[in-house]
Amino acid sequence: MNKNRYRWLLVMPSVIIIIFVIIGPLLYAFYISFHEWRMVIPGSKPTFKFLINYIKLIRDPRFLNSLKVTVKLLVMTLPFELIFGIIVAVALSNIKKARGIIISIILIPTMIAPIAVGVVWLMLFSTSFGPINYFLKLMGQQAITWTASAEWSLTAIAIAEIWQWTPLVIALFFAGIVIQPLELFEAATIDGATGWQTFRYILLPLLKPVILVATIFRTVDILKIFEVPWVLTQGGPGNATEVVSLFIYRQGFEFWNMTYASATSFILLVVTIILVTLYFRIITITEV
Amino acid sequence: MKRVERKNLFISWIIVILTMIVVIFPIYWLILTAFKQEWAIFHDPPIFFPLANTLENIKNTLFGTNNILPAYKFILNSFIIAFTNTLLVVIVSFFAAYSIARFKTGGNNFATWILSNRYLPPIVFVLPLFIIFRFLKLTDTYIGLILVYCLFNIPFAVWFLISFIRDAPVELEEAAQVDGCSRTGAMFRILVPIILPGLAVTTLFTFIFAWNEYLFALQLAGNKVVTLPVYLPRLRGAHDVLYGQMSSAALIAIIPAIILAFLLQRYLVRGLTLGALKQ
Repeated sequence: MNKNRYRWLLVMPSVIIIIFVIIGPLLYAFYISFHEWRMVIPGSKPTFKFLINYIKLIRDPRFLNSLKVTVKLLVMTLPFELIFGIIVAVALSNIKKARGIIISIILIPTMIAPIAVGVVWLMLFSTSFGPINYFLKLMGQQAITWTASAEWSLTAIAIAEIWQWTPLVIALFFAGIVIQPLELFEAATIDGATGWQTFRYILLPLLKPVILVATIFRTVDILKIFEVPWVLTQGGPGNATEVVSLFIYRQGFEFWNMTYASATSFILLVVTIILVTLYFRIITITEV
Repeated sequence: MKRVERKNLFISWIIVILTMIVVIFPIYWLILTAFKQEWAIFHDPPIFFPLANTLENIKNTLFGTNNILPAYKFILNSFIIAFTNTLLVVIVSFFAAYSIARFKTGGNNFATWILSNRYLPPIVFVLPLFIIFRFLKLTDTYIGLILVYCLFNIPFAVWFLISFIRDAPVELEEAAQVDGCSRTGAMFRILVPIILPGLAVTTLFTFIFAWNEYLFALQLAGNKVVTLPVYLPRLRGAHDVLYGQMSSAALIAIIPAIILAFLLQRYLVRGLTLGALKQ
C-alpha cells in the first residue's frame, strides 16, 4: 500500500470518533448558541436570534456571579497548592528511601473519582457527626454548618479541592526538581550558601516554568470543576458556590434553556482554549 | 555539614509524613464509616478507631434493602462501560499513535490538537450531546457512554502511546521489513511486544478515567443505565444522608483507583500530567 494512504488510514478510526464526539457537538453547540429554543414546549423549533444570548449573558448578574465564584475559588486554592506543592516536593527530593510508595500514597486523591471526593468531604464536613467540627470544638471553636452557610460553603469546596489537587502540584514540582543537576546545589553549598539561599536563588528560578505549568493546569481544572460543589452544596446556599460549570448545567438542564447555556459554554470554551494554547507554548519552549 | 544534612532529612521526613496523614485521613474516615455500626456512625463525639465493626453496610449497599437499590448492578454497568471503552480506545489510539510517531502524520500540530481536547470542560459537550443523543436514540445506552468516553480518553491514549512508541527503536521494525515482514506485521510482531508495558499503563489509566466519570453518565444516561458514580450522590436522601451506604458505595468506587495508584507508581506523574514535564 502507498505509504501516505497507509498512515492516514491508521489515524482514521480515531479521527472519525473525534469528529462524532468532539467536533460535531462543538459545531452544533456553536450553531444553537445563536438561536432561541424553548425546549420545554413540545414541538418548538430553534429560531435564529444572532447574538441575543451573548448580549443577555454579559448582563446576567447570575452569570457574572458564577464567574466571580470561580475566580474566588481559584484565588483560594492556587496559592496554597503552589506553596504546599513546592515545600513537600523539596522535602520529598531530600528523601531517598521508599520514594515510589510515598508518591503513590500522596497521589491517591488525584486518582479517585471527583464524585467520591465530594462524598468523602460531605461526611467530613457533617455538622453534627463530622470529625472536622469535632476538632474545631476541641479547639474551643463554634461548630460550623460548612456546606449550608453562605460564609463557609466556598471554603469547604476549596478545602476539598486543595486536598484532591495539591498532590498533583507536588508531583509536578517533584518532577521539576529531580531533573535538575545535583552539582548545582552542591556547588552552592560549598560556596557557603544556606539552604534557604540555595532554594531562593537557585532552585526557585529554575522552577519558574513548572510554576507556570501548574498555574495553567489548575486554572483549566477550576473552569471544569463540577462534582465537588455539586455534591457538597449544589451551588448554594443561594448562588454562593455556583461555579461556571454549575451555572451552565442549571441553565441547560434545570431551566431547559439550552441555547443560552450553549452560549455560556462557548465563552468558557474560548477561555480554556486560550489557556491551553498558552500552555503548549510554554511546554514547547521549555523542552528545547 | 553532616549534622545540617541530618537535620534537613529529619525535617523532610516530618513534612512528608504530615502530608501523608492529611492525604490518608479522609480515606481512613471513609473506610471507618463504611464498616461502622449505625449507632457508631451517629455517635457524638465521633469514633476514630474501628471499634464497632460490621459488614452490614457493605452487604446492604451491594444487594439492597427495602429502601435502597442493590449497587452491584451499577458496579457492573460501570465496569462494562469502562472496560469496553478502554478496549476501543486503546486499539484505535494505538494505530493513530503509531502513525503519528513513525510517519509524523499531520505534523506536530495534529498531535497537539488531539491532546488539547483533553483539557476542554466536559459541560461544553454535555449540552449538544444531550440533544444529539436524543435524536440518535443513544440516550441511556451502553454504547452511547462508551462512545462519549472516547472524547477524553482517545486524546489521552494517543498522546501517551506516542511517547512510548517514540522511545522504542525504529531500527528493529525496519530490519524486520528488510527481512520481508510487512509494515503492519512489523508493527504487531516487533513494536507491540516492546511497548507492552506502555500499552498496559495506558489501558489502566484509560479504564480509571472512564470508571470515574460522572457528568456524562448523569446527563446522557442515568435512568436505565446507571453507573456507580451516578448512584453515589443519590444516597444523599431527601431527609438524611445514608452515611453507611454512601461510604460503602464510595469505598467500592475508589478501590480500583487506589490499587492502580500503587500499580502504576513509576508512570503516575507522567499519566496524570499528560506528559507536561519530561521525566
